[in-house]
Amino acid sequence: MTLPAEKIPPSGGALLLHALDGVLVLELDPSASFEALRQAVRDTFSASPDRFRGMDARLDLRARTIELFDLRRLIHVLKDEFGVTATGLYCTPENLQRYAERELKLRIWTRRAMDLDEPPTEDEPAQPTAPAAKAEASPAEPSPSSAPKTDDEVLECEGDAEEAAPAEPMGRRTLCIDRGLRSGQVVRYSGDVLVYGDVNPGAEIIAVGNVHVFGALKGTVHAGARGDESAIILSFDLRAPQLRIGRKIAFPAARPATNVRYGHAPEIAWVNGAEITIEPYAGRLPRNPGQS
Amino acid sequence: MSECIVITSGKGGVGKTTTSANLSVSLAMMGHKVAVVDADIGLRNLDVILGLENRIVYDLVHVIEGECRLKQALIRDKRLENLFLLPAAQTRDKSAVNPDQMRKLVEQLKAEFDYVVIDCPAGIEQGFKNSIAGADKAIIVTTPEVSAIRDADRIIGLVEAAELPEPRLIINRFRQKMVDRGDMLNKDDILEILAIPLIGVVPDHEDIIVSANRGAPVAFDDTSVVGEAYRRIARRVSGEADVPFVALQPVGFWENVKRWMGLSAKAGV
Repeated sequence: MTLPAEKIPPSGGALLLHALDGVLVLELDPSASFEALRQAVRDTFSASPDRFRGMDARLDLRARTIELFDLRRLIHVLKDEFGVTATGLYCTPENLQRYAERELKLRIWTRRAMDLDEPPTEDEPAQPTAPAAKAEASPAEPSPSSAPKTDDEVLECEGDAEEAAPAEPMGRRTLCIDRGLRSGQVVRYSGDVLVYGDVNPGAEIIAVGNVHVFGALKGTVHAGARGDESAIILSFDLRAPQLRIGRKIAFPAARPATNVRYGHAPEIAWVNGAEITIEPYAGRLPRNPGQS
Repeated sequence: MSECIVITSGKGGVGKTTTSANLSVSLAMMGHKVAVVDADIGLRNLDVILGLENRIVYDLVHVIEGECRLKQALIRDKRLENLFLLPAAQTRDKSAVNPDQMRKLVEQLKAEFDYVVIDCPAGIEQGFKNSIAGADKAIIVTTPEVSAIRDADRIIGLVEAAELPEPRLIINRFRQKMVDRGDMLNKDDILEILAIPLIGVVPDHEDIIVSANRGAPVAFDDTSVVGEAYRRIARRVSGEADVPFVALQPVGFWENVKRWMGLSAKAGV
């Protein structure tokens, strides 16, 4: 189901092209001029003009700043001359991210897709832009997180290739969000997520690792989104109507408010055998996470 | 220094248009020069609430498409000479305008007026994006209902993402009696979820319906608690500090009698 990462010989040095899971990734040389980039795109694609027709592409600009006008022109060249639709963008300048998201409707990636030398993985989460068949063809993925989302609100996209095996504990990646999440805001991350604030009803966190909410949790959370059922969800005030860990799902019954502001203890949700258990947090993990 | 305030809520029917009308009237009564823009293209209502519907010649879309000058489309209120309405088109839809055009329009209005109030349509699509495009500040209207609060939360997220500084909240249709009985969310419950500064609480009252049907916003009514609530919101909007909230207890029998007899100008306030 997953195409191998395909190396396509670079041309002119300005452009590096590879394909991942049916999506083209165009790495643009940060130092080349716009004219050179456009020429490189034309050269590369016109060698076999129809080879990529109908495919989606992501542009990798890294720290390059590009005139917004030029970016738009580049996307038009791809679309009009070679039938390739640009759907995503890797870049670091914030104004460019905002513009590309709003005006060009590109999905913004904050980390680069992959290194060419890394082996391709089997479990990259389905992209909203990927054809539906592809999304269905990944049984390893619990269905809730593979459903295409409107991604206008995605705060952090970390759908990049990741080793299938759990990373070393020391090497675990953590995303800290130093404010609350409001309805409609989505966080996806391939590591642990820490939220310093409330997660309101209608907000969503999908994390490959654990989720910790230093505030009230009233939104939807999926911890261990790639199937890791040793993941936990921890919150000062666990009031979510639904919790997902790995492939398990729980609908905690309405309980009396356990609001830390009124002196109640934080709670932890974890997979205890066949089901998700919610219990007061006793100052340590309910079991060794590596043990499962 | 003029500013543009957008009145928005996400959910429909919580009182955006009523709030826009009354806030504009109150600001104008304080002596400010105010333009109120109906951005609900295709479903215009603000003109009716203000009682100006039969004076519309040109509308917002005409201005944007260059069919008339801005001055020609602005309707002067019949009661307040410093209040103007820019009506929405009824025969078009939201896609007739884009955010850039809105931004330019608001710039033009801000050159002429102290306050530009934009009545945003319900929803988070084109109409909402148009409405917030030129705004400097946002006021979120919600009612004490879970669905309205959920939508308000979403809107606050979007408003913050659009980098409008600190949106403020109006709780509309508040019923102290129901709160006392435990049948309605109270102010603190709402503020705990939304976590933005409160700029006003407007009690649920028949006056609103009566005034809407008459085309005379309740803010004109000196004796109405609801009118007073809006006038105080306007004072807070214009930067006045420490304006107390109106008393939310329902007006009792004796207060009503006094009110009929004209003994108490601001009954229940």
